[in-house]
Amino acid sequence: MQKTTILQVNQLNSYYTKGSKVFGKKNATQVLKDVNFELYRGEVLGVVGESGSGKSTLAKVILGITNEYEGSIVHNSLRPQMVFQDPYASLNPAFTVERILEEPLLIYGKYGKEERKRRVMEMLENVGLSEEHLKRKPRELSGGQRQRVSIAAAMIVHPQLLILDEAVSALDVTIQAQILDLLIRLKKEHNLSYLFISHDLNVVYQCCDRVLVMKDGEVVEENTVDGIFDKPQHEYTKQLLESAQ
Amino acid sequence: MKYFTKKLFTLIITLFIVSLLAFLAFQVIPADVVTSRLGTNATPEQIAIMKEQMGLNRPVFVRYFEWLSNFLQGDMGNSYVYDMPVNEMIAQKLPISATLILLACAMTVTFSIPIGIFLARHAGGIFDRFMTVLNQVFMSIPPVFLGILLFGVTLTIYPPEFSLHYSENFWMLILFMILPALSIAISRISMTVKLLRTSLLDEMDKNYIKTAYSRGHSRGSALRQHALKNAILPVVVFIAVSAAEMVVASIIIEQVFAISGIGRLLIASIASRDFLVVQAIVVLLATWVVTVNFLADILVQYIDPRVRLD
Amino acid sequence: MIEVDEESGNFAMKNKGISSIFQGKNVFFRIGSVITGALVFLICLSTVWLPYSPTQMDATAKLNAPSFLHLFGTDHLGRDIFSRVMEGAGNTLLIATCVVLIGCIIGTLIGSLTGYFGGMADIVLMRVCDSITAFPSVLLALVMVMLLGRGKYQIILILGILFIPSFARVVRGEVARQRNLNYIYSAKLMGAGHARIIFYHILPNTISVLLPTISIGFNNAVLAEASMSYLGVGVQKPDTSLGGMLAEAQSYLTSAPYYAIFIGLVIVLMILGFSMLGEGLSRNNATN
Repeated sequence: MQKTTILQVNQLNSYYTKGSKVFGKKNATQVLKDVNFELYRGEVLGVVGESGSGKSTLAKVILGITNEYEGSIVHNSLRPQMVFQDPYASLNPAFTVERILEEPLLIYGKYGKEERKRRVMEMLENVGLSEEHLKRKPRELSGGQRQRVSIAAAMIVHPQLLILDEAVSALDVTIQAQILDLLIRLKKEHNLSYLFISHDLNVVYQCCDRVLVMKDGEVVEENTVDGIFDKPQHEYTKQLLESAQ
Repeated sequence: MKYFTKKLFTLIITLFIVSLLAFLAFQVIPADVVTSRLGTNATPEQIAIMKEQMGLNRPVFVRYFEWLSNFLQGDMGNSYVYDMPVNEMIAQKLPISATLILLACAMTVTFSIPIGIFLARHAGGIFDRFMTVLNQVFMSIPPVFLGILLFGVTLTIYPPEFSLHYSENFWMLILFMILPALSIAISRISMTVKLLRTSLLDEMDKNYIKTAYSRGHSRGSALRQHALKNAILPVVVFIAVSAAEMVVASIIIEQVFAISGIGRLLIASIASRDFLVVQAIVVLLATWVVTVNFLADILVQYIDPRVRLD
Repeated sequence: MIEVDEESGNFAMKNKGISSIFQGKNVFFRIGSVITGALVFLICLSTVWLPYSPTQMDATAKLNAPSFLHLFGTDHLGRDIFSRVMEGAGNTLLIATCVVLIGCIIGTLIGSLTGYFGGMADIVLMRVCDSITAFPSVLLALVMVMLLGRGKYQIILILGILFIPSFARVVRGEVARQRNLNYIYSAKLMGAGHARIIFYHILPNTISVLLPTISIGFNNAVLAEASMSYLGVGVQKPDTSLGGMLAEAQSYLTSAPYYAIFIGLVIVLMILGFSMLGEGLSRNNATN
């Protein structure tokens, strides 16, 4: 089976600078240290670690949200998208669900009104919502529904790579399960790749193929998910597994 | 100390900029600096001669620094309209305006603090709600109108000869100034009361007040002895800043009550295009405003070093 | 409104949005809107109909007390005070509207650009705005009057410029806050350009912050206009203005107090209406 590389990251270093540049003082803290990995088509790569390990920064750097990095990031996919943790700040409070889903299509600009409507409805149903949700605003939706909308909005441009930054961490356990099922189904239907960032090892176990373990900005271990859970090599990985028990 | 020097530095720079802007506004930009002095019937030759005499053909920065160095020594030039030294004109009127503003400040402090404390003490009661409404109303009455109303009161209450002689005796001056000062002060008092009340109530919610209660304080004594010290800070700042704002109100009130102070002089000079007078007054008033703000910042730092007003 | 989701018992957020202001018990807003609404309605009405022409003089009826013929009485030239007050109020409202429009539009433009892009321009512009707001505005206005002259349009320009900083500050703060939120990141990922993000994604969310500022802006504009006209540097005769009328009325304070009182009352009502409206709006924001 051919493995196509969707994303390749080499020797990635990133710094967080504090202090005004005007006076030439830069207190630089290193957030990512020499990160290397590859992500293949159709796989789910988990990234685990505590808060402060650099997971979120990794996501933002890869997608170009934050620009300051050294090293190379090679994308081999179309239009990578991201789903965020916080269902409340991820959707524009001033937009209706319809508008939220339509916006990526409007930006792209090539679709007529009818076509947009069709695609919006299609994606809406794909994530398990229905027409009655179209006219609602984010504040009228529950956390699970908002995440579905976020996923739909990300999916509507047909990306090949989706980065999920703690996408289910803020949800109740039952809803978590539903959203994870949705994500896995979408992955199979569209042959997607996920970069799945989480601090919750149980969730990672459920849906990831391979895992990166991060601590203090470094990748301390990389293995298949079974490898990580059955035969952890690094001290830190063992600690994580213990505390998850 | 570092904060102080930084702020002082900013202060001096601001004053420079202000004086430069004032200079530009009144000496460089206006086209009729000369005609306002000579009159509109001046011939072009007369204008040219006057320009040379007044040194208006020299480069701007030379003129500015000459004016500035004179100004700092107290020489503000001569009025175009009256041909009197500007500093004499101002010196005559300054004490009167100063009295007015200081009296208004004193009123603000004396009235707003007790009232604010009282309202916080009895928050939610009938008087409190009544005062909230009253406050809102007072804040909406422009000093102009209030001044006129109180002016009417003045006309009816004070004997007619009063206004002619008030400047002779200090206490008579104060007596005369009560109503004008009140016109300026009332809207500030309303705002200060509201601020103090809110600030106190916010403090009363905090944990150390609950500790005070458990040690036997009543609401009133907890408020006075504990909450007040912490709540007073934003109020102090507000009052200090008000001293700057009251300058504006005083200009209007002086007009209403026909008080011959700086404000009235300013308005008259604007009307008669007496540039140097306007320039001098504007610089003085601006200096007052900027300095008061500076002192307010320093005062806040002194009281509570944790607050950094950057 | 809180919605219990059948899926899970997850509660939707309580943020009610701006339309909630009509449902609640916000006293300030209600009274404010009633007062303002009534005044605006009367003023609009007065543009098409007035009991008397504001300039019509009646030598036989000088300084008459209020009566059924003349609701507010007559002035020293026999003109109907009520009609003049209405016309003056119309002028004041017009000026205030123009001033707020200028301040709001330009201020929002400046604030959103500096708030979004940050950098040196942001720092410099905000310092400038701070300096302008620190200064007593009437003083600055007087200085500008000396440069630009007096009159209705000059005062609109001058006050408009002086009002820009307060709008710019408010908008800048809100834009800078939103710039780092997730939904803006999403928009960027979807390929939205800066202009689209600022105007379609961020600005609609600034309305709740802008409304109280606009209301207070009206409040201050009416106050400033009345004061400037009183001092003689605002609206010039023969245009009617409340401030100018107040100056005239002062001479007749003892003989015909109703002259000044009614003028002042209308000014107070205008300011009161707007300030209560603004207070109500900002309290609505606070509870959300």
